[in-house]
Amino acid sequence: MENTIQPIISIRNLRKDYGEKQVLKGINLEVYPGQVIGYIGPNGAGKSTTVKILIGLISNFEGEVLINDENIKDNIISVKSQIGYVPENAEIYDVLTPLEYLDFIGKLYGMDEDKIALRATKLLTAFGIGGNADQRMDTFSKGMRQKVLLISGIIHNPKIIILDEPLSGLDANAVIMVKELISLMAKEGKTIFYCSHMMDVVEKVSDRILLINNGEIIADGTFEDLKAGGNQTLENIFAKLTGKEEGNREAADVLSALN
Amino acid sequence: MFNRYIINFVLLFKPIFQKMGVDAEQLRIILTIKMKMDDRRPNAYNQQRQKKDKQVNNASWLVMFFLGLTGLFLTVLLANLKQPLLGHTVYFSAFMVMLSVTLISDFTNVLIDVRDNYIILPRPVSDSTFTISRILHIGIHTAKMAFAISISGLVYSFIFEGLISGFVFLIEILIATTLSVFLVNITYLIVLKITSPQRFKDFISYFQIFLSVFIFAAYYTLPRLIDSSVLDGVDLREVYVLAIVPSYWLAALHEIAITLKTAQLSTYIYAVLALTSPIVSFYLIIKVLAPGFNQKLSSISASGDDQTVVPLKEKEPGRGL
Repeated sequence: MENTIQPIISIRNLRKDYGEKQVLKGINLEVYPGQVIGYIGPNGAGKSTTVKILIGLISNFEGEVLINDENIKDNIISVKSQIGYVPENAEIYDVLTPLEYLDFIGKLYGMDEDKIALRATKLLTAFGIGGNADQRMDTFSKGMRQKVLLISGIIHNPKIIILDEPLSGLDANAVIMVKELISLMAKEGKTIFYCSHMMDVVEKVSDRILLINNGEIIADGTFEDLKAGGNQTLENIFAKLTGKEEGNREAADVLSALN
Repeated sequence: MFNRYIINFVLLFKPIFQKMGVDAEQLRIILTIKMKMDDRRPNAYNQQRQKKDKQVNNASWLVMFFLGLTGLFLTVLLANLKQPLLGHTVYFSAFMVMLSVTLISDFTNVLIDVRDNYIILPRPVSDSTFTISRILHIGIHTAKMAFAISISGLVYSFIFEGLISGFVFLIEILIATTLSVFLVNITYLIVLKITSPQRFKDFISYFQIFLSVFIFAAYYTLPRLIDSSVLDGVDLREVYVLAIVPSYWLAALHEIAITLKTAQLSTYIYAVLALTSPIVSFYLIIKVLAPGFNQKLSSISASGDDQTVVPLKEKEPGRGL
């Protein structure tokens, strides 16, 4: 199937360094419409750098990145309009109300004011914060801000959605709702690029998992493919492939240091 | 409402911005939201209101009101002092101090705010639009503050000192504003050189406390100073250290405008210094200070982010402004 459909994200020999530190060492990747990619890796592995390149925050890199057949370096504005991004930290203008904030974001995508208001109201209600639509967000909990952040990432109905720890701070019901939303959006043909440290969630929502370590993709496949080595959970696979299997021993060391 | 007029005025220069690759509609959207946020941001002038958990909707206008009041005191002082050279030196010294401390205490957070990197830059906004919106936002804010401090003095100068004096006063304001921005830039660099990025944020907090005390002191001191006759006996030409004080250069410029042929040679030299100093400071800001400043700012940004944060020096020119 993958051979007949054009990849929506195509990364070829992607390299990036900060001075002498090489963060990405030649990543090759093709992502197809409707896929939910679970992008995992330890801290400093190169996840954030990959995401920042995909969303156009880093333009100084080697290699080629094509989004929907458009080179990110040549058509950055067009590429950005096809992507929805939800950052890891709740980076938001919190002196605004959700409606004001979403109006601002929608207008940057060239959306009509009435359409933004209608869609924002529906989305805020669906996320359970419709009653707070006109309250300033500086009084919001982390979970409420995260919901607004999620909405701001999808309000323009993008083809590609890049989620960086999107469940951070959400309550259990919202987590269930977002997981379901990811599945439904993928069924609609949207591509989800999901970065997270929460292995159990990645395991459940992703239909393809990419494991990056030291700037290289060291595993690529479905959860079923990855567990063929005998491991039963993504956590075990992650620990084994990144050479961090001594998690239990480290925990014991921490406890013994306290005693 | 006033914000809209200001933005409409700025967008009169739309053709120029468009030639620079700016999307004028996005520029309007960004400036509108930035100015709305300025009006809601806590600052040194509305801390009491914030403590009472009241939401602020007109913070920048409140700052302008207080600065305007201070400007009025300064104008009364200017009118009362019999020597114009002395009056203008005192007036513009106070102007530059007020503008600089207000910019440092109330606008630094805006300058080091990296949220734009995650909110605006991932959207379909060009680098030109983003950079120009940032420059204009800072420019509008500075102009609002400078206007508030100087409007009463300007009106006084035009009405009571004549047309030429009024125009010279306007030039003095523009030069003093440029030099204040230069002063703020220098202050940032010095503080960043001697402290860590995290300490820099602490410094700003201390500065806000200092400003609160300064405002309090100013409202007690200025009215007394106006009544005082101590300043009347001072001859500034004998105070040689003033040769390196920009507000004295500005006063010299005014002195020439009103005395013209009878002015001393030294006064002409100071006036030339006043006229050339903005050009020199602009050159220093753009060529020498700005690149280092952007790199330093990136270190402040990085202090609260992961290790793969984008160093600003790697971005397109101007993004770090």
